[in-house]
Parts: sequence; C-alpha cells; structure tokens
Amino acid sequence: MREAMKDRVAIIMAAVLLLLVALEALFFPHYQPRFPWHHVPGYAAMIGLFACIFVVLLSKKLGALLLQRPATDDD
Amino acid sequence: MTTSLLLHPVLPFVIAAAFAPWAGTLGRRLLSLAAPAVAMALLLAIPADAVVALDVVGHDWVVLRADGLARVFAIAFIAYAFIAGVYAWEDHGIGPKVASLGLAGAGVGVVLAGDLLTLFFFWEWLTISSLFLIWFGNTAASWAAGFRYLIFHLAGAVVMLVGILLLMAEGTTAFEPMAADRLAAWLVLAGMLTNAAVPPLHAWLSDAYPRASIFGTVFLAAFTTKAAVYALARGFPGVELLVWAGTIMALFGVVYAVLENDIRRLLAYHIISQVGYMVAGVGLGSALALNGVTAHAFSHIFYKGLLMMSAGAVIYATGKGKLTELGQLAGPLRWTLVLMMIGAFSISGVPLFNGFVSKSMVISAAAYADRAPIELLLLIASMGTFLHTGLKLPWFTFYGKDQGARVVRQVPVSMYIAMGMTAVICTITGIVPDLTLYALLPFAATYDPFTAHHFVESLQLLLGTALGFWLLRVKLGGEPTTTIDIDRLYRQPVLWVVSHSGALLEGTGQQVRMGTAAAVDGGWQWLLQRRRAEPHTLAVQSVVVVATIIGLGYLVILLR
Repeated sequence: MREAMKDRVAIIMAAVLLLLVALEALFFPHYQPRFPWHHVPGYAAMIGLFACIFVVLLSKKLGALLLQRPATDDD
Repeated sequence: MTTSLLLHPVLPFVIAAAFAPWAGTLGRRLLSLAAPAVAMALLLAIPADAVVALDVVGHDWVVLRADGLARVFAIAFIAYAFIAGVYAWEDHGIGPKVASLGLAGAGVGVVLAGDLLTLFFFWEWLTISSLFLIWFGNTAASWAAGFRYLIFHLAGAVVMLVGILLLMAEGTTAFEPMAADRLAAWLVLAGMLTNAAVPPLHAWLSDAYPRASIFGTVFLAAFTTKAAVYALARGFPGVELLVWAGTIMALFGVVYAVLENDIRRLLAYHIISQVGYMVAGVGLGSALALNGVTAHAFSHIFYKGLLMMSAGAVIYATGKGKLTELGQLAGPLRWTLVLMMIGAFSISGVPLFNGFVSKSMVISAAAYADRAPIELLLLIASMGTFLHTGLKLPWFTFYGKDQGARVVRQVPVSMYIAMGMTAVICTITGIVPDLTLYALLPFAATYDPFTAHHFVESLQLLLGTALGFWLLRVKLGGEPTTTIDIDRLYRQPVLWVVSHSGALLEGTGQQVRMGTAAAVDGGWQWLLQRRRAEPHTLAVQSVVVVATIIGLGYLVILLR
C-alpha cells in the first residue's frame, strides 16, 4: 500500500476514478435502479477494482495448485 | 416471390473453392476476395421473405431462408470473409485457401439453412473445413489437435443427428424455436452447445485454434461459435439453462486467461467468455436480449478478428507468440499496437467502440428481466475482458520487460489493410450504431446505449480494472507454463482411437500417418510426464472434479 502511495500512475487513476464516482453521485445517478447496488454511487468502480484483485489472486492460486504444468514443445 | 437456387450466397464460395487449386497464386488471391464480394451482392439482392426448398431423396431441403436474423449473421460472415481474405493475401498455400473459402461458405450456409437437415449438412461442412485449417498449421501439435477437434465435433454431431432424426420421426424438421422439453430437443441442443464451446464442451476451441497458422486462426475465430450462437438464437430462445450456462461461460474464460501465456490461446479463452454473453442472452429470450445476442455476435466477429489479426501480426513479425518471449515492441510495431488496442477497446466495451453498444444490450436485458446475479456476474466478466485483452495482452506484448523478441520480418501491407478495415468497422458501429448495426437488428426492441450513466458506469468499471491491473501487474506476467484444461481428459481416449484405427488408415497417405504419429507421440510424452510428476495426476483429478461440478450444476438447474 505504501508503494502504491508513491506510484504516480496509480494516484492519477485513483483520482480520476473518484472524480467519476462524484460525477455519478451528483449528476448521473442510475436512471432505472432495480438492484440494491444501483443505488450506490461507484458500484461499477468497485466491481472493476475489487473483482480484478479477487480474480487475479484466486486464479493465480488455482493455477499454482491445480491447473498449471511446465510447458512442453507440444504447447 | 420465388428466388432461384442460382442466387444462393453459398455458391460463390463453392465455385471459388473448386477452382482455387488450378487458379495460380494471383488467381487464388482474387478468388478469395471475389467469392465474398459476389456472395454479398447476392445476399443483398435476395428479398427478405425468400425461401428456397429443394426436393432431394424425398426430403424438402430448405436451403435458403434469409429473414432478419439470418441476414445479420450472413452479412457479418461474408464481410469478414472478405477482410480475412485480404489478411491472408500473403498465404500462398492452396490447401488453406480452399479450406478458408469452404469455412466461410459453410458458415453462410448454416445461417441461411431453413430446416434441420440442411443445417446439419452445413454444420458438418463447417467441422471439416475447420479441421483442415487446423491441420494446415503443419506442426506435430496441430496434427494432434486436429484429431482431437475432429473426434470432439463428430461426437457432438452424432448426438445432434440423433436428435434431428427423432424430431423427423415426430414429423418435423422445421428449424424454428423449439421447447427444450423432450429428449430429441435436448440432443439437438447438446450438439449446438458443443459448437458454441459451452464448458465443459469447450476444450476443443482453446486446444485447436492457437495451433493453426496465423491466417488459419483468423478464419477459425469467426465462424463456428457464431454459427452455433445463431442456431441457438433460432432454435432455443428462452431456455433457462442457457442463462446460467452462458454466465458461467463468460466467467470461465476469465480465470483461464489470467494463467495463459500463449497470446492466441489467451484470445481463444476470451472467445469462450464473449460467446457466454450471447448464450446467456439467448437464454433470457426477450426481444432486447435476442437483439443483443445478434448485435454482440456481429461486433464480436470483427473485434475478435482484429485481435487475432494483430496477434498474428506480432507472431509474423517476431516469430514468437508467448508473453514470456515478447515485450518492448511498441516502437517497431506501433501500428500493430494501435490496431490491437482498437480491438481491445471494442471487446472491453470502451465507449464509442462496438462492444459498448452491443454487450450492454445483453447486460441490460438481464437487468430488465430482474436477473440481479446475472447482471452482476456479467459485469464482473466485463472486468475480466478488459483486464486480459485490454491490459495484460498489450502491456506484456508491447511494453513490459524486453525478453529478446525482435522484428525479424516486416508485416505485409495486406495485413495492415485488413486490420485497418476491421478497425474502421469496429469504430463506426460504435459511434453511429443507429445507422449501421441497429438498423439490421431483427427484433422489435429499441435500445439507447448513449446515456450519461452508461458512460460513467463503463468508464468506472474500466478504470477500476486498470487500477487493479496496475497494482498487481507484477503478478500478471506470463509464466512458461501450460494451463491444464478439460482436453487432458480425452487426450488419452483420442490417442487410443487414433492408434487403433492406424490399420484402417494405412495407405491413405503420408499426412494421416504423420498426424497419427504426432498424436501418439504427444500422448506418450504426456503419459511419461505424468508418471514422472505426481502433481499432474492431481491436476487431472481436479479437472474431473470441476467438470463433474459443472455437470451437476446444469442438472440442478434443469431439474429445478
């Protein structure tokens, strides 16, 4: 996390992301909210960020445990 | 109004394929462009209500039906066949030209088929053309993968044929929406799901497509799965099983793509993921969902084509196709990077590219049907798409570490022209969908993708993913590994069949023997390896468990 704080690219992305969430909250709320998360500004940002982290970590775990083997010429 | 059989859009492909072996290099090149051009003219000339039936052996073969749904798919197939023909301009082989013309013709034949037997005829033609395109990859691995492809698809075809025959016994072969309420319909559905690569029937795709030549893969990526999507949309709209099958499929490819190192196989797993949206949309079955399926299939044919073409260009230029061998190519291959990014933005649903106007229709259809988990899971799958094709693939190919890949030959102008044409289609349909794609959609449902909230939502999702990628990019580099998939389960039985049919195949040519030898050798090496390393046994067992869970899941949904 401390490394991330020094990472300029990450800071810029996070800032733009917050700006987009603010835009959604203030000006462009979901026009036809149907599900609980439609009422939460920034739900898409959270899906993007957290699902990404979750999927990468989970897949890597699965891969290391079960799904990968060293490549051969056949591959 | 009657339409003559002579105006059938499949005919130009058949004629071109028949003359191609004798036409000389230039002639073959021209034929591969002329066939789709003439076919498009014929298709556009056919009135929407035209139906052509032929009475052969006592059956009415409805060889042509060009209504709204069939027409959109046929237009996309034919246009793509033209572009892929341009891409493959420098591919001099006679075999690949004939097979690719055959493949495009078969795809058009499937979507224009008006009864189940005609469908089956073109369905098999599709399999055989694809098989040869895989074999023309001309490596030991492509021969072996071709045999596995063949046996997988023949099994699917037999199941489907039994279903069709049972339906015939009931007195109908009409290719119209069917209720999945009896064995015959389930068998036909199972055959279609095999070609749509729905897990656990998907492994042929990621196994075989990356083993064709770069030109072969560009053709393969477009036709088989999308023809199956058409068949599902025509035959089984609203079948509940498909909603979940499609959603699982959309997520399935994402997990595998995290692990994948081969750039074309990564893209192949994302074909599975993207076709998942279409299968889910067919299951939802509303007019909006089916329009979404049609629109997304149309978009997919072009953006996936563009991605495969640009991946092919990287392989052509450097001779390398693994993320662990690439990197730092943004300078020498900058135009390939730009074109790949247009494909990546399109598949990821970046605003003003075609995925933005088509994928969102399916997701919205899920929301309008009050299917909360489906909407959420499809949004998560969108994240995965951008993560891999929009970030991981271009980052580790064009930036990342320099791992020794150099441009050893220039990418031909013809390949750039083809990629440019595809890129134009992806952006134009993304910017003015009303004038292009939406004008072709067959069902009565209107949809406006350009709302402020949709922009903000999409940008949030994409940027959130980009932030996650940036923080985790160290973990996402390619590893020199192969991902074990369900194909490991049937490699052995296929090996057995191939080796035991050796006596029959004796004398049918050097190539068949080569393929057999390659398959036997591959399987033998795999066996040896497995003996050496225990974890692989564990891996195969885990795949069995995963396959069983998926199977049981379907059973539960079915019996609910």
